[in-house]
Amino acid sequence: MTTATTESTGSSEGIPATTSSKATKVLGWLTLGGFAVLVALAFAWVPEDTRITEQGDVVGQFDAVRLMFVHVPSAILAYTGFGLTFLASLAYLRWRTDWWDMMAHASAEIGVLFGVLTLVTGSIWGRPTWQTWWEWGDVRLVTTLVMVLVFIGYLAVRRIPADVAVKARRSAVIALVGAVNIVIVNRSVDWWENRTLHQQSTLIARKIRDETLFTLSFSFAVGMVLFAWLLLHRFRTAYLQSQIEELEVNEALAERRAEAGIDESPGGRP
Amino acid sequence: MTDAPTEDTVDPGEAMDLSPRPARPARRGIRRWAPVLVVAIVAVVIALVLWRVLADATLVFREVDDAVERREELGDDRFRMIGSPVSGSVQEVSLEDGRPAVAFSVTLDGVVADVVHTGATSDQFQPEVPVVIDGHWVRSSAFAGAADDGWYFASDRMLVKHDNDYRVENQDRIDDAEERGQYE
Repeated sequence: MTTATTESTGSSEGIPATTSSKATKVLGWLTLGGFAVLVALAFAWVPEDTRITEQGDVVGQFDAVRLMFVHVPSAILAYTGFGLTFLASLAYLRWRTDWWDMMAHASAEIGVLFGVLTLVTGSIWGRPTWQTWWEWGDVRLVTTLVMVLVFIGYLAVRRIPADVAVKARRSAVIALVGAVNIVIVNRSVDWWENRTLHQQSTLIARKIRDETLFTLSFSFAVGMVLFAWLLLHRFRTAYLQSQIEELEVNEALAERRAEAGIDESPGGRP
Repeated sequence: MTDAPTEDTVDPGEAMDLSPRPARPARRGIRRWAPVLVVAIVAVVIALVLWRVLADATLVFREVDDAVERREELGDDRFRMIGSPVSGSVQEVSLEDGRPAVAFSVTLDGVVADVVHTGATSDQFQPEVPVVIDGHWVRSSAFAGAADDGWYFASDRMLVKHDNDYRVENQDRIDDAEERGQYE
């Protein structure tokens, strides 16, 4: 949780001192509770993935299947984060307000977080299932990596010193271009079915047992609550940061005036 | 805001000098160039990833029908082939030098190819579940299988593609296997 203080400026009226609120506290506790239930469901209720071959051999993903409850929601949340960045960037280019720019920034950071988590959990799952951590020839894996890299680049571009409006416009354009890859990543398993080890959608094909489906749906819900919690905090952090920067500018102006002998305090010497 | 400064206290021109103060050079350099450097690194990494994937033909997954059609063109080149093992085609064989291998046939879109695999066989390897195998074509009828067309694909690496089916089939057989201690 981020706590911002503006005491040093002496002019922090109207600026909240924290990113926390009743809503975020509720969301935070819901996330913690939901995650505890999810762990219990994943390990105590959902059976391991096994099947018997024609030859009588027992095959399957066994316990590795439980990674699904982290990997799949992570991927969905990465899409959500980048998708929201796309929409907010589009809105920024239309209305040019800081609110949309901060929303795009906040959601991109969360998208990158879940994108990296998707790649890591996918790799851990791939080792026992596919017998490989990573395959460069795999369309799904490579397009996902490129998607995450593009948005890491987006975040880096935002850090390049420039006028606020220039920075916002520049990054919005990158987000629009990068968003094209979101569709490619999502559809790659269908468009290039034989160019990837990654399976097609289990949910769309409805090839899933009830316990696994329920737990997977629950993991989506917990993930969405976590996403909302992170987004609220990150957005408010960005807002506070912009307010503090504005205060710093005012403070710098006041210092310069003071150095020049202009006393602006009530009753001060002109 | 107080009254504006008067001429006897301070010169207005000097008093309102709002030109930027000189920043600390080292900090400014890092602040200015670090993000640019990160952007450059990310751009180079993306370019390298795309170059690696697009320029290396050995990484491409070729479907069985495509690999068979371009057999002459591929020659001894190493590449990857994807297809489903034909049910009932899997058998253990020995190579001329005595090394053990697994011979089987793979199929996709009705086209069949024979395979001799000398690498480790995945635990997930089973008929009808697609595999990606690394290797090259060999013109020989020594291991004729379901294709029996005078060629076989000599592979030494196998990846198994998992399907999207998480339903339970034959729960009774799974219970039996558990009772037999086949797995815990």
